[in-house]
Amino acid sequence: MHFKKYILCASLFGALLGLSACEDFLDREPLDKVTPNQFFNTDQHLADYAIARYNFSTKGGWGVGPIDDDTDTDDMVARTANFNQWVPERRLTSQGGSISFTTIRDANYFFEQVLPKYEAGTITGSEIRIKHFIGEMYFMRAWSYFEKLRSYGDFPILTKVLPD
Amino acid sequence: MINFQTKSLNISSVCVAVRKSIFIALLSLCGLNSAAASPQITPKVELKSTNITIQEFVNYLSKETGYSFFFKSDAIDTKQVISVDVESSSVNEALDKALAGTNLAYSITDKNIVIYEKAVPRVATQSIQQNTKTIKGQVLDQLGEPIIGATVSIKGTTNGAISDIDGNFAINVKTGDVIEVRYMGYQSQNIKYNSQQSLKIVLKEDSELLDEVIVVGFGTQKKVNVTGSVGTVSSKELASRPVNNVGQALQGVVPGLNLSVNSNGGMIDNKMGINIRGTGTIGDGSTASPLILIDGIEGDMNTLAPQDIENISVLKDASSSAIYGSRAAFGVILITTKSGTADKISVSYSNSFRFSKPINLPKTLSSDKFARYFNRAHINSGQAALYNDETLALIDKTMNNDWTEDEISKGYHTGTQPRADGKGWRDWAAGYASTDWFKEFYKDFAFSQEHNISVSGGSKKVTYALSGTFLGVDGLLKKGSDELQRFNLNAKVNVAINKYLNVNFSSRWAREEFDRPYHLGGLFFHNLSRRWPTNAVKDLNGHYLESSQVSHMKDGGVSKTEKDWLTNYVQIKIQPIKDWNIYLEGSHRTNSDFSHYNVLPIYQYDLNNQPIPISINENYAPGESRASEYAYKENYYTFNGFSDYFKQINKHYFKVMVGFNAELMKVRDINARANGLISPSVPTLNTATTNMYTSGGYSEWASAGFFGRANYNYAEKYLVEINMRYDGASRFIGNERWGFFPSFSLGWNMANEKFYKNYFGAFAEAVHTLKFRGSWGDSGNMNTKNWYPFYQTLPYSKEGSLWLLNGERPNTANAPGLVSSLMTWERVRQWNVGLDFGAFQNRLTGSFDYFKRTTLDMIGPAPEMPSILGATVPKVNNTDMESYGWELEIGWRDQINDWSYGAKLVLSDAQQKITRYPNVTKNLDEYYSGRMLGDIWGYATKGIAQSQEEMDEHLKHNKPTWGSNWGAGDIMYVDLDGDGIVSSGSNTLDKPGDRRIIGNSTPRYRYGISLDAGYKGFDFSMFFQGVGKRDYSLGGGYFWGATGTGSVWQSNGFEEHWNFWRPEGDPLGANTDAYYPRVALDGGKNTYSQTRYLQDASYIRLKNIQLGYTIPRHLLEKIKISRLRVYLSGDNLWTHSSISGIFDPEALDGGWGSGKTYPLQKTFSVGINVNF
Repeated sequence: MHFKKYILCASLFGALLGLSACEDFLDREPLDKVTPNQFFNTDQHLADYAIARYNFSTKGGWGVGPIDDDTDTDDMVARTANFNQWVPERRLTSQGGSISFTTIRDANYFFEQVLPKYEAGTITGSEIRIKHFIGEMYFMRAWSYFEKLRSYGDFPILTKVLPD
Repeated sequence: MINFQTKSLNISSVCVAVRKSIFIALLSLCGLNSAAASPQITPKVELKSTNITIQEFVNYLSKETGYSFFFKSDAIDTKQVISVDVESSSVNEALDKALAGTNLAYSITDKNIVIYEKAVPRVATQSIQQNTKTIKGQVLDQLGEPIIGATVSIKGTTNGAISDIDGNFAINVKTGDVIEVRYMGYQSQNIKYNSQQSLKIVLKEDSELLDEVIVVGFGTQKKVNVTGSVGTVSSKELASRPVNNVGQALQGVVPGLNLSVNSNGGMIDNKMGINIRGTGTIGDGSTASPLILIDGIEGDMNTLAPQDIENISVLKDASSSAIYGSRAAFGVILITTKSGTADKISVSYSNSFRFSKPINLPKTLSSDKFARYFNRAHINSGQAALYNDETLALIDKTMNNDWTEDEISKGYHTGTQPRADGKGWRDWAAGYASTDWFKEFYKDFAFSQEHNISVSGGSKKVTYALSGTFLGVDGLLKKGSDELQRFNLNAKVNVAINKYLNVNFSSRWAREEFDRPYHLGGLFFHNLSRRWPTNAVKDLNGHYLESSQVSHMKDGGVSKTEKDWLTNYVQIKIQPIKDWNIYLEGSHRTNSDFSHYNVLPIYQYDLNNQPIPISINENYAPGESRASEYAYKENYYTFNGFSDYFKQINKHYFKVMVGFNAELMKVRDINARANGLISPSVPTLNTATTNMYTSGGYSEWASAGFFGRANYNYAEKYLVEINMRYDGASRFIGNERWGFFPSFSLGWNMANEKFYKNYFGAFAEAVHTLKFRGSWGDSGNMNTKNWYPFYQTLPYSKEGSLWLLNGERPNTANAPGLVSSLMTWERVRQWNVGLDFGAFQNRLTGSFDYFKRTTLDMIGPAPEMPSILGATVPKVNNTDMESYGWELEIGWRDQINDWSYGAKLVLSDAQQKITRYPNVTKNLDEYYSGRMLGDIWGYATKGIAQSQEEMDEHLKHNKPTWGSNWGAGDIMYVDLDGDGIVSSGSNTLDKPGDRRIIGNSTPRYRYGISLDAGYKGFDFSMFFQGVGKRDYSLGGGYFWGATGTGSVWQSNGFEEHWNFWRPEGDPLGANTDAYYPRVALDGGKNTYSQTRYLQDASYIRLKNIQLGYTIPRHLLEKIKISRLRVYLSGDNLWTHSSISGIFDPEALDGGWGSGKTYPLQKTFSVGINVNF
């Protein structure tokens, strides 16, 4: 009977040991993908992230560009009045297009990741470049808000990344 | 009174009295499959009585020990009273003591005991001989080999005999007696004695016997004690099928195991899609394939040679597959390969030589009809005729072969000539050839062959099995070639080191090489279908025209794949004490896939015979060349440690098993390609110059699981099984990592109840096996498509920016996508009820199952979220589905004199219903709660309008919201909702307009019917497979021809399409009772999904027919051959289906549209099986 007890104890112990060893065995992170904690560690990472935010166009598609973009602003008046956007004294909220927060979120994500690392001094590379790209991202967020302001007027100010 | 006391009772041994060789084969099989065969315990007898007759004593012994008793002669006085006093004795001791004071003796063979008189008194013999006589006989199996130890008895008496080593026996009979011959593993036979001088009795093997042992998860079990739903396949059912892989041979064999042809059709390297009990998941996140284990280790069954398979178990319900945990939520297929047999060296060789022929190829319209058909399409769409009168005249000349000498000398009769404007060759609407493009590309017959050699044998300590197989298949392609070769090499060794320790080792290698033209793919099949018969194949200088695709196939480069699988497996089995087994198994499998393709420059030639580069497809500029290499390697490690213990207390039977399983998968790949080959004859990366591209990476997953199973049964009457599994998967992290999955099942062998025989009388006599069973289980599915679903990764692109900085495109990085905080396992719950029965001495056997499987929390579309989130909303587990259906299997097997015959029907059904889906509006373009998978929505059709008046009248109350210029020959759709117009409403379930569910494309009532018969050395079998009900809504040019397509370039012209509507007096002949509406390139106003064109895709197909002859043994003995069978075998020889003749009912899917795929084939084969 003792013998059986030993076996029982040994196997219970083994199972417990197994379970904790299992956790190590089962921890498998992606091997060929960049995960957030491997990124924003060098000035080049910041550069790659910042350049991707310049995804607006200076000239849209087949249009003639800025000349036409000024149509219906107080810089330029088109031959036909646009009552969709402009009524006397006031600009209406755009009826079409999406209210995209993508750039704002991208910028906030950048700040959440980069600023603590910057303050801790763990980002390698040129201090000037690091500051430059942080500055660029502040600009991108401000630019995005400026665009929203132009389109919608009041707009929620977000300085954090929202969870789902 | 007699006081019977028993200490220990007969133990049912799993392998009792099976013929010696089979017995040993089974034992070693059990061993290799971690079998926990219940051990053979010598029954102990305890009895004290001074007042018992021999008959009573024998009855008692028989009941308690399981031995059968026979009295050699009726003259024995069974009423003789004896005195017995035995305690904890063996049968031998008990008999020795009990018969000590009599003139009787006994002999034991296997489990049969014959009691005879030591010296038979002369007088008695004479008196017997007055009405009975002793005859001699021999018991043989179907191959003419003697059966040792068969029981021969006279029905209704205790008179009997046992066959000796040569199968001979002698027995006293009188005319009119019924002689019963029984042997385990064979069907019993009754013979009426009509004063024959001698008897020759041939017993037929019975694979359906319920004492059969079947392989279940981590062990084996007697079939009578199985409480889950398990289907089995024996090697016989796979034998001599001329198939390219195991999957093809399994179709229709097990009810509920569904195999179907995928969009690659009959491509020679194509493997069939497989599922158990229908679609398991519609989730974006996971797959629902069954887990396939080969000798206990996960593997690809299609890499095996069918000849190496001993048997297959299909674990269908939750309780039988639960022991494998979350890798096996949708069933398990356990494949056991052949092992060696002790004391019997067997060398066998088999081959087959095959000829394959494409089936169900569409028949293209002859050129004259084709041109007029397409002309009509153009004219009806308000365009000019496509073929002008001059070309039509040339086409008619081609059809009538009416050419002048001059034209023939110029070669114009071949279907092309220079264009009048000098800009190339006449083809398409200016062509006038008569080409059958399917014939141009597919051979009438392709040859293939298979050879298999195996050696097995061993001693009591060591058994081994070695085998090698070669399969060489030529594809059907005429232009360019497709070839498949498969090599298999297996070795299996089992060493019994001592009483306690047993080691198994096996090694399996398989290689598959497949070569094909690079262009052989979806685009080729698409183009092949829309090549006009008026196009010539070659220009007048003998070069292939661009439109022919021949240069693409012949010279446009090749794709070569070489895949290897090497599996090594070692198992140590320890038996510290009786009935306690410990198994430690480790295995490693490495797969590699090295693929190469090259694209070479191809040309057409102008009128001056100068080459013009052409492009092979839209990804390549004309004249572009490329070499591409892909290398993939997979390392897969498994460890299993488990232990089982068996205990029997009186009629209580306990078995427990606990274990641990760990798996680790590591894969890596490298992909490289470059363009601009220096020379097309050296298509390698080293000799390519431009557009270098490389990629490559690594991935891993791991899983670990603890499992336990407890079985209990009482006298094989009441059966209980409980399974538990605690599984962890690397794909899930944090609190989600581990899941607990329980299941249980119950069984009741009603036929073992006393009341059954008492109350059911004749029914119980006939139906001697009747078992009810039920099971329930809960499991998770760890097979997520993404191996790292919980990890955020940063999308990073090389040179991803659209801006140039310092003349270069910078790399870009983006914020990682969101992973839902609510993400969790997909769960699968299933219950199953079923019954098994056997009747008429197991001549009739069958089983029935009903199941319901619920797949919960599948990953569905992302929910709506405020855009303030600023990112793509992550997908969540928000979808449920239900799958339900039933399975039926009925078999009949009997023997009448030298004739043996059998029939088997398997029939199954499964359908799926979405029970939760985030589609609030119930938009019909998506799933919605309550939708049956495969539902086809469509309009009701009244018919084809015969006149403008009829159409106008119809349109008054049934005007479609689409289309214009409705007239004679157009479809009349019916307004069902009474609003006067035919519309799709708001395209929701509540407002579907005039659409209804007109059919369902889920294959229902899948069946397989096998019939076989044997007479002496001949064997014959037929196997039909089919689907009982299936609707299909076909679309595209393949089905509609030129009707409703946007342009002639996407149209087809097959013979079926000629059956289009033409009014009275039409120059092409009236066809008012047409199948298709009038032909017009009108964008499809007539081709909406509708009742008229809904196809009945059910079919029955003669999957295999086989005739074999086994040459009598005595003719072969001199040449040292123990068995030689020659056979003819044919696959897919006959099909019946009501579906449109353009299509094969099994190959409806094509990458580029219905039917556009590699044709399936019928195969004729001839071969031999030899055993030395």
